Amino acid sequence: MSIPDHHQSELERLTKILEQARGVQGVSLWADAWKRLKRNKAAMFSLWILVGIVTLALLTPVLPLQSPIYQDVKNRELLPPQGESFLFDIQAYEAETTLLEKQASAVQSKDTDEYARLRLRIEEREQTHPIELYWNNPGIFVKSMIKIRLVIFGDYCFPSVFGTDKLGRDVLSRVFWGSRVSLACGFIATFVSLLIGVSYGAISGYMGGWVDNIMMRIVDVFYSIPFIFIVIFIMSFLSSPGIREPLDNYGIEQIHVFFLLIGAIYWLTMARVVRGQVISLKNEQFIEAAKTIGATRMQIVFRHLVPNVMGIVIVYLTLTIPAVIRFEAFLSFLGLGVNAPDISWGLLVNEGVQVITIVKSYWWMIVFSGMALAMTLFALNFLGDGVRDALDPKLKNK
Amino acid sequence: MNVFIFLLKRFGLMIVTVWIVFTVSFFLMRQIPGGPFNGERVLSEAVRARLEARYNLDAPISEQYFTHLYNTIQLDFGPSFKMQDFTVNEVLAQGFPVSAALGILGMVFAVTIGMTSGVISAVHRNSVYDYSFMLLATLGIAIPNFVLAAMLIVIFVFNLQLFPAAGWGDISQIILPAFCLGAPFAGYIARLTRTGMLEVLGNDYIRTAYAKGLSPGTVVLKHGLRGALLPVVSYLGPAIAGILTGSLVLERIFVIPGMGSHFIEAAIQRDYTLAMGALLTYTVLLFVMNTLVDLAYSIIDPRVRLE
Repeated sequence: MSIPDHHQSELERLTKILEQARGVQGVSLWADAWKRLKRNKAAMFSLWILVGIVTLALLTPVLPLQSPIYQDVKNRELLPPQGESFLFDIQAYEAETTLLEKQASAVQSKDTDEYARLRLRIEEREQTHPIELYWNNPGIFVKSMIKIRLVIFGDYCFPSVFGTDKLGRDVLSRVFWGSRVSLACGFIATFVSLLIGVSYGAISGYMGGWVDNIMMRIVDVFYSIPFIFIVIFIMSFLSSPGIREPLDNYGIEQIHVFFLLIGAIYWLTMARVVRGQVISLKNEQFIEAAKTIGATRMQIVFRHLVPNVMGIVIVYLTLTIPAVIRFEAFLSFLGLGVNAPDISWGLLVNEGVQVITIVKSYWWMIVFSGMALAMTLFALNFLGDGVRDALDPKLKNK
Repeated sequence: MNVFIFLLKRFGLMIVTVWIVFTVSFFLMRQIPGGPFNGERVLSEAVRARLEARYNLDAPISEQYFTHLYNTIQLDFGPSFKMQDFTVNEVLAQGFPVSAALGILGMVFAVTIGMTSGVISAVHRNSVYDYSFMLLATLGIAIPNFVLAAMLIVIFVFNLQLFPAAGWGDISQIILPAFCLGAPFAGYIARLTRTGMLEVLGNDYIRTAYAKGLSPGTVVLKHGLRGALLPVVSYLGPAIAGILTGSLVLERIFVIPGMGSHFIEAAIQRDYTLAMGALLTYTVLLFVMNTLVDLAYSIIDPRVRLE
C-alpha cells in the first residue's frame, strides 16, 4: 500500500522543516544578553577595566611593589612621585641565614653546644624575617605568593611613581594593597545582601498570606530606618575596647563584622524585587508540575523559583556592588570603617585629606587613591547600565 | 481627609521606627563593658555626677529604660558625655541651622544644575552637549563626594586660591562644600530629567503646542518640563537622605560645625548620648522629609493616591 500523494507532500514538508530547525541553534536568555552586552562598547570597555583591576588586586603579592606598611619617616617622608627604584634588603638577610645554616651543619657532628646555639639563632632570624616586617601579618596563601615574588624579582621594587605618604610609605603599593580590601568588601557584602535578600523575598512571596504580610511590613519599617547612621553608631560601639577585645579573642576581626554589617543593610530592595517576581511566577505550570512530583516547599522556592528570578537579581547586583564599595570608602574615610594597619581606598583618601596644609598640597596622596576608587566605581556604573539594558526584556529583539 | 489619614499613618509609622531605633541604641549603649555607664575612669567627676543624677544609674535597667524614654519623648536628650558644659540639645541646636543651610544650598545646586543640563541634553539629543553633560553626570554619580571635595580643594583652594580651605560663616566658604554635596544628585537629576523630557517631548500634546504656534522655549519649559518633573520629584526623597549622609563627610572635610560633624565626632569619641540624640534627630528628619516629598508628588500628579 502506497502513501497517498498529499500525505507524501506533507511528509516532505515536515522533513524539510525539521531539517531547517536542526540548523537553528536555540538562544538562551544568557547568550542573548551576552550578545547584546558585547555590542555595548562602553560596557565592554568597563568590563575589561574591571577585569584588569581585579586581576591586579589578586596578583598584588607577586608584583614587585614596595612594602605597603614599612615606615621610613626620616628619609622618605612625603616624597613627590619619582622614578628612582627601591631595593629590599631581604636577599642579604637570607644569605646571612644560609651562611649560619652552613656553619651549623659544619659543626653539627663536632660541637653540639655550638650547633644548638646556631640553630636557635636561625630560628630567631626566621621570627624576625623581613616578610613579617614589610607585610602586615600575611596569611599562608599571601605569604607564599610573596615568596614567589621574592624568587622572581629578588630585592627589586618598583619606584615610588605615586610618591610616598607622611610616614614614608609607598603610595603605589598602598593603593594596590588597598584595592584588595575595597574589592573584597564589595564582593563579600554584596554576597551577604544577595543571600538575605533573595531568600527573604522568595520565601515571603511564595508563602503569601499573613506570612508575606508580616515579612513585608518588617521591610517597610526597615526602609524608614536611617541605616547609614545606625551603622556609624554600631561601628563606634565595635571600636570601644570593651567590645573589641572579646571579639578579637574569638578570632573575629572588626573588618569582618564590618563587611557583614554593610551586607546586612543592603538587602531590602533585593527582597522586594524578588518577592514581586516570585509572586508572578508561583502560579505558573512548572511550579504545578514540581508540586505533583512531590517537591517540598523549600525545594520549590530554591530549586524552581530562585533560578528563574536570577536575571533581575543580577541587574540589582550591579547596582549593589558600587553602592557597597562606596559605602565602605565613606565609612573608612570617616575613620569608622577599615582601621590601620589594614588599608582601603577610603582610608587612603582620608590620609591624603589629613596632610593638606596651607603651605603645601601633597596632591599625590589624594589623586591616585581617589582616581582608583573613582575609576572602579565609574566602570561598575557603566557595566551596570549595560547589563541592565542587556537583560531588560523590553529591549529584547530590538 | 485623605491627606489627614495619610499623615496620621505616617506619623504612626514614624513613632514605631523612632521607638525601635531608640530601644536598639539604648541597649547597645548599656552593653559596653567598660563603657561610660560603668567605666568611671573615662569620665570627669562633673560629668559623672550629672550622669548619676540624670540616669539614676543604680536603678534596675527597666526603670532606667523608661526614665530615659520619658525624657526623650519630652525631647530632652540629656548631657553630653564628652563635652562637660553642654547638653545634647544645645549641641544639636547649634549644629542644625548650619547643616540645614549647607543641605538646602546643596539641594538647590543639585536641582538647578541637574534640571538645566537635563533639559538641554534632551532638547539637543545626541549633540555634543548631550554627550558631554551625560558623561559629566555619570562622573558625578560615580565619584564619591569626599574624593571630589579633596580634588577640588587641591585645585581651587591651593592652585587657583579662589576659595578658603575650611571654616564657616562666609559666603565663599559655603560654595565649595555645597557644590560637592549637590554634585552626585545633580548627576542623577540630569539623567532623570533627560529621560523624562525625551518621553514627554514625543507626546501628541507637544506637537499640538508647536502647531498652534508657541515658541520652542515655551513648549519645552511650560508644557514639556511639567511632565518630566515627576521622576525628579520622586527622586527627591532618596536625594534628601543622600544629602544628609553626604553632609556628614563634607562637614568634616571643610571643618563646618554642623550636626554631621558633631555626630561623627561623637561616634569616634564614643559620646553615646550625643550620638543617640543625633541619630534620633536624623531619623525624624528623614521621615518628615520623605512625607513632604510624597505630599508634593500627589499635588503635582493628582492621579497618584496617597497610601
